[in-house]
Amino acid sequence: MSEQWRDVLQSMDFWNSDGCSFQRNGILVADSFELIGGSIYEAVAWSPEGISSSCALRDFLKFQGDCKPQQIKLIWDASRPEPLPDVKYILYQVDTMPANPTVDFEVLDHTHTCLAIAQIR
Amino acid sequence: MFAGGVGGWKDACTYLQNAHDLKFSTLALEIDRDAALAYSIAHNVPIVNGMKHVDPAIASEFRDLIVLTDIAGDTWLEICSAWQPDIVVISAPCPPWSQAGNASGLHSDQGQLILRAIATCKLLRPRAIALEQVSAFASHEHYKYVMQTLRWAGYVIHHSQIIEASDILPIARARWLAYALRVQDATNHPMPFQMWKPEKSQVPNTWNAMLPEHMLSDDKLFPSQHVL
Repeated sequence: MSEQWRDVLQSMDFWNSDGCSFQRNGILVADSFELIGGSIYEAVAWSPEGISSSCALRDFLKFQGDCKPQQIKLIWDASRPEPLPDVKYILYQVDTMPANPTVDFEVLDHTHTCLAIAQIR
Repeated sequence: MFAGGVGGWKDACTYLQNAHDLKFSTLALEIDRDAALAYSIAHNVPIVNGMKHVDPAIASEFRDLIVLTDIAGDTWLEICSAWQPDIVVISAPCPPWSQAGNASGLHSDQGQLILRAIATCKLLRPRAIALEQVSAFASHEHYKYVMQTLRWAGYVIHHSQIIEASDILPIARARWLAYALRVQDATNHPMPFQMWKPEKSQVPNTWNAMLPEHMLSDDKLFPSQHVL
């Protein structure tokens, strides 16, 4: 059973959470987007709330809030509305291995099945 | 999630709205077309095709909505996020958990839907999650995994209880009910759970649940010939 359980947890692991598993198309929590040229944004990525899959699988159920911000660069799909600076976003299925070596992530939903989810509280 | 055709959670919202003047805006998700249609008619809400990506702008146009969609997919995520739900209710399919079925739990795709539903709460971050399941769920060997998934998503169960519907209704229907609160929401204040008070002498006619005689001639109410 634990395999099915592990698969579901890992498929929803957030990038940057303690002990998260690597996903080619991961989930990124970010805010404070600032356009620095072209379609490249600088943003603040968060170590998100909740518990990573590996911690949950090991019964290490320690909670934390969104914390440990770090600067990242990402390419934002020009066909999407621009990210609002005062909104925190959960970027679902963001490309964590971009072809462009100058950025950390890509949000290109015309080539991937990406969803940018405006968040909220 | 898993609204069904009857839409019990929607009925609960309507009751609270009428009895306690609470305001609700509800977004229902259902994969079965007939059930979604029945819900739409019963509650007089528009139905939206969510088998492909749903435009999140629709969220601002309607007070109540039902989306025909697969919870295991992601076509409905953006509209649900735009809805900004305070509470997500999960009535996942019960056959994998029922003693009347094979009790396959998380071994079956249908059983894993409850994990998928909880996992999306990690994205949507509602303030609370309400769950309903068959009574055998609480004693199922996979119950602990579902509870840990809730904690993984950032929620803690504040109350759970097996209730027997016969306390208030003329049917024997035991159900496990629970609610979980988001740990990182400082505005959440747990309150004591108040179950409804048992009534006496509940019979079908108490709830006007008996069909009138002129409706009994419907052929669909009788076994077909090949069964007899």
